[in-house]
Amino acid sequence: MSAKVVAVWDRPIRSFHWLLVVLIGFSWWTAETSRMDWHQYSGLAICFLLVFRILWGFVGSNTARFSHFVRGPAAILRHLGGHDSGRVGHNPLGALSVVALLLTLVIQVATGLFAVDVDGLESGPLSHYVSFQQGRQAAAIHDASFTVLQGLIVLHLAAIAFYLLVKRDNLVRPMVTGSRTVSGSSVAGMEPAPAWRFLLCVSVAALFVWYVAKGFPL
Amino acid sequence: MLKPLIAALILAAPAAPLLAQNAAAQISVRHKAYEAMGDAFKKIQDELRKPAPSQAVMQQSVKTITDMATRQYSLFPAGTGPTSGVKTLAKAEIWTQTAKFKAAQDKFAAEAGSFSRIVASGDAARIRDGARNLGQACKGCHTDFRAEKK
Repeated sequence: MSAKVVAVWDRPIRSFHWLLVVLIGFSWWTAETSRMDWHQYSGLAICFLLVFRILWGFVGSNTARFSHFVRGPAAILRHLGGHDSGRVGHNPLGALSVVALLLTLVIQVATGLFAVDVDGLESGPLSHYVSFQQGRQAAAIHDASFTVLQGLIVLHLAAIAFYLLVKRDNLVRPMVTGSRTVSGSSVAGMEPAPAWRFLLCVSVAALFVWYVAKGFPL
Repeated sequence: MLKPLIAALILAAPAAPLLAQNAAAQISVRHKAYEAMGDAFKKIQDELRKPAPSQAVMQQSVKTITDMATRQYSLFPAGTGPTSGVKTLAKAEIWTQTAKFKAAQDKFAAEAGSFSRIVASGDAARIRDGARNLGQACKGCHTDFRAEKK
């Protein structure tokens, strides 16, 4: 079989991924060390990344799109049965992990925006829209969903380790370089999206976060 | 059934030790009182985010806080700690380190008093600083005497 190098992840997806890694780590550290000003900036930055990622999931490169990788149980079973789809990007099972991670992050960010601390010293930029009790509930969910997020990240890393050690497939390199080697000349690479769409998504996400940071004045 | 009981407890707060047999009700009253204060403090913080904070709302809310500064002393009768069997974040240290706890309560009372005077001044910038100081007093006591939620 012939081997060739094809594109898998575009620059926006790779930047999103690695910025997210850094910011989740930073958010965790600032929370543990009570640097709440920085925690809030970090959360807003993650909010920006998430809004961008969701938009990019509709108009971005084909491997970034939800329609490309969110599949039904039949596709997941076929994948588990060893069926090779012959295309690059998230496999149907890995897609579940992507969706779970994104959903948990949305919950994480959303509850953070409304959270209130018990001392009344710190509160999210949208906390004035909720009562003290609701704000405390948001903080409790924020706390619990981070535990869920940690579990999902461990699972994510375990899957990568499994691919590397058992299947001898390095998934980290394509997330850095953007491309990988595939066997079989019929495998098509990623189809990129035009730059103007990227600029549009970034602008919309930035505008949204700026408005949220201002307290979402109605 | 519970409401008149709670009302009676509030009115009889100075005589709280007499009612020590009902730890659950006392803990519930305490919890509601602190929650009401959190709510009042938040209302002030919410006003401070607005371009034109309402002096009336802040004055009314700070009253809840200064009232609590007086009431707090009667809210920790013996037998309402973690050994009561009722869910509470009040630590046993409240009753074992009584002098330290009293000092923390006094600090809150003092901060509440000065915060009330600052709110009366109507100067938003000063009220923001004052709120921070008051919050630190809350936090100081919470760190030592309030358990982390599990």
